[in-house]
Amino acid sequence: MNEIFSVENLSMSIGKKTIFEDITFKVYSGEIIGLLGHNGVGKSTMQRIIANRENAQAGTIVNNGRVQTIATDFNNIVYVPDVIILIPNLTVIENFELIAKSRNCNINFFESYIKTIRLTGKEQVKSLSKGNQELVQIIILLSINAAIYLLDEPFSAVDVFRRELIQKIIIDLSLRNESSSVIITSHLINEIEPMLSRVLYLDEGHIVIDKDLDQIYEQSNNLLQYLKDHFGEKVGYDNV
Amino acid sequence: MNEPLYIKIANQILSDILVNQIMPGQKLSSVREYALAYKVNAKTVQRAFEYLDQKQIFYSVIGEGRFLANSDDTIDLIKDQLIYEEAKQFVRKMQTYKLSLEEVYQIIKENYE
Repeated sequence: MNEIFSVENLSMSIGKKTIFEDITFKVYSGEIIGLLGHNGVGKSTMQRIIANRENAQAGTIVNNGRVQTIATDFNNIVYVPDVIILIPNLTVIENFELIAKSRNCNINFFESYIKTIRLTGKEQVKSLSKGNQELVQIIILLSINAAIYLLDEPFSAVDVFRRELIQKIIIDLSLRNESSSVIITSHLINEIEPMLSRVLYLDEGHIVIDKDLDQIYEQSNNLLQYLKDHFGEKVGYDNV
Repeated sequence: MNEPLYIKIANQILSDILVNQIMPGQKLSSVREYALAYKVNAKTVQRAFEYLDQKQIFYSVIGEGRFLANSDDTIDLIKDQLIYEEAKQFVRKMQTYKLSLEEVYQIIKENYE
């Protein structure tokens, strides 16, 4: 396992409210990490900072041995937001081609999963259901060859069948590119647990749990149980 | 229900071997293939195999993969393992209901007949 990137001494506050305080962690190749915590704890903000969509007040992101500063340093990162960023008036293939102009994409990955969801690719994005738009966006963005994949709440708008497919796509992605790592935020703990190799749990500005699932299973039968054992009812996940 | 994911995966692998009628000596799917089929982290599949490797159900050939042990009682070993797990869970559940061994035995007897 090689270090892919690290977050070092990251701090951020908005007004008087502290979002993060001196957060440090490293990410290694082959990992699928669940970035968990209460709603509003800053999971999405953390992803946006790593993806250069937002700036922290203090701290650095070291990517591939270099401190991230300029936009080109972020070329090995793929960020999948929880809103649709595809262009609605273009077709699925046109959206893919647009991204493939500036990023190195795996066309086989794209084509095989578009086929799996029974699309031809000639459909306009705006004509697709919300669930299919989300699925198409995930397929297109994860076809980009990169070192770091950040997914923000990938299951939020999809039904159970699409959820299973997304799980499969993420596993496939991580097997396809063993030198990459994936970081997923989700409030659906039971749904994301099977995919994960490691958990980062954010609480009150700090990472309070940073453990491999292997270590979690030494102490608890599942992730939710482990979190409850450590935080009691404070875990407060309503969707499990 | 109340067991670590890797044990669930281990039992799923054994159950699929029975369902798919994989024969002693035959090659199993790879860790990758199981990870994709079950949609679980490859490390968890790896851990499931490490758990199963203690039970002499498989043997590994470096560079070739894992095979179902070439022995007459391999399939029986698998069945024992699955049944043992099911029984263990059942008994644990009955214990949480504070049933005595005698009472559990009585329930099994009534349902068996």
